[in-house]
Amino acid sequence: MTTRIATVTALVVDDEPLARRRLRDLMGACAWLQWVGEAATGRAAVAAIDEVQPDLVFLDIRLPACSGLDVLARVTHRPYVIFTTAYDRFALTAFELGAIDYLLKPFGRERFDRAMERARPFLESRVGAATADRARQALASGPVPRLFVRDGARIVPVPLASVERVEACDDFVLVHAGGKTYRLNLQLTDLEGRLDPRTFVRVHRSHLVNLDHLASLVPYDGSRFQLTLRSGATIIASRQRSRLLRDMGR
Amino acid sequence: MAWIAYAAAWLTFAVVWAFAGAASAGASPLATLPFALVAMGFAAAMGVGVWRLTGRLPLDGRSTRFHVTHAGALAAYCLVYATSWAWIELATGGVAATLQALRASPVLLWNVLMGSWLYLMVAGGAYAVRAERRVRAQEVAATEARLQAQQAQLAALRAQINPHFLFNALHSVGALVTIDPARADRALERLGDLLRYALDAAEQVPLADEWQFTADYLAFEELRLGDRLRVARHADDPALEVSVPPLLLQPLVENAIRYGVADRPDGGRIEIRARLEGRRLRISVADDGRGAADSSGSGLGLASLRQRLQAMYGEDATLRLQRRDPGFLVELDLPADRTGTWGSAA
Repeated sequence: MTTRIATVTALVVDDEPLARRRLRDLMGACAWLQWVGEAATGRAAVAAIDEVQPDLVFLDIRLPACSGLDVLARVTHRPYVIFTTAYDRFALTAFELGAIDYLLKPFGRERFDRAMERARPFLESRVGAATADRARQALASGPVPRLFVRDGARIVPVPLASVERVEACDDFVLVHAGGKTYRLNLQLTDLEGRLDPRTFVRVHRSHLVNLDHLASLVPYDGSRFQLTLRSGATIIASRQRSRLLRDMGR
Repeated sequence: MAWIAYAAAWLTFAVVWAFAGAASAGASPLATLPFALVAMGFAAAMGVGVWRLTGRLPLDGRSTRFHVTHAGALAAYCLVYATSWAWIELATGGVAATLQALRASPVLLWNVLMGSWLYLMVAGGAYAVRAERRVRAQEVAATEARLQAQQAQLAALRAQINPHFLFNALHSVGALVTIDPARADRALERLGDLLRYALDAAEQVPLADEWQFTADYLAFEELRLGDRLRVARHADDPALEVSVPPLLLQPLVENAIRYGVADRPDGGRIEIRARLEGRRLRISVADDGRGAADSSGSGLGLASLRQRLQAMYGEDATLRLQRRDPGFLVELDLPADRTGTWGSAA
């Protein structure tokens, strides 16, 4: 069974001529993508996006005078956005929290194709509109009000109140919320930095727990506590964290 | 050297002692000199033993062993010193005269007091010299530690290649691979040269090396920024021969590009100059941008450069920042006739 895909129009925003050329070349080999223009500055990008009204924008975060985020704040047309960046740890964390697609420079054919495969279902369902809001929320500093996660071909908001715990797994984390598990490609410490420390407490090197989901806290052995969550999950806190938990209970 | 000074001091003391003895006894100094020389010869020779003893017995007023040992040594020292003149008596006057003289107790008592005084002077002096040497050794160790810390800092600095630059440069090369393979090839070689220099540059390099490194760096910025970056460079030939610490020029240029060019949609112009004026090397980097809030020298690159200059040249090098209209001017003024002293402790 083959599905005929409507052509997706794309615009490139980058201040470096070679980087723009690179994206145009990569796009050329992708049958369902059509290059419809490019811009080198934030101001030119705002004008081009509103005029050409592309389905997709490849947007460099660092632009002279006005950032990629400023561009999104000013446009009236709402395209789907894939951010491109060379090195910006904070931005990458934010993008994961907002389920925003990004391409890390240097990228070539393989990484580009993978990103396009991932973006395709979203592009087909035309869900770009919210990118700008999600990006703004995620890129702001301080605790995030909710997480955005990819769930199949959808991006779903996950209220933090429904997150019962977050578990570190190699170089990504698993978010357990409402009986489901979502994967975010970031470090537990980075996520911890964007959550309210009074609600989300690190009980172990690889576990963050939402105290509002705590059912009981009982001594496990002489120096550790066992946490039982309302979902029934149990976690044994580390010695050091058990001491902190005891102090919190006082 | 120390032993010659030691012997000379005792000799001088012996002569003074002979004249003093002659004056008080109303005798000729020639008569008292042999006695003085023998007595001080004994005192000096035993002083060497006292010096050795102070090396084994650290100065410690609360240690019983310290007091008992020195009391014993002092008694022995006094006994030998007090009887030393008897050897001359024995050689010149015979046994009977010697025994008679030894019975003249006031002389003996006087010699015991003198011996004690000499012992205390020698032991005190020995402890003072040892303390002074220890302090100097500690100072040398501290200086060495400081130099090592500076070297570690330099190593860390070299490892600090701006990741943004590196990843963007790699991305540019990737783009060139399909557009212009020959240029991509050259760019890769240049990138290799850049990294090698940043990682392995010697502790001192001719400015010419810095100039080339900066040229390689600029080639990438030109690749990245296209015609938004306009550069004018000029260096005198004699200036290029001056020895400078590595990674001195490129941070200034990177700073100028960041604030004077990359942040501006239309780009900007950068002027780099190096010239020799007398025995001073003057380097200036100017841009025509707005000048960013933190180009006042608190920026990471300039702040660490300032620290390195301070460590190497002290007050003899200056890094001056000047706001112009438009743009920013950074001037570096270094001694041209001095190689730095990273790690080469005397």
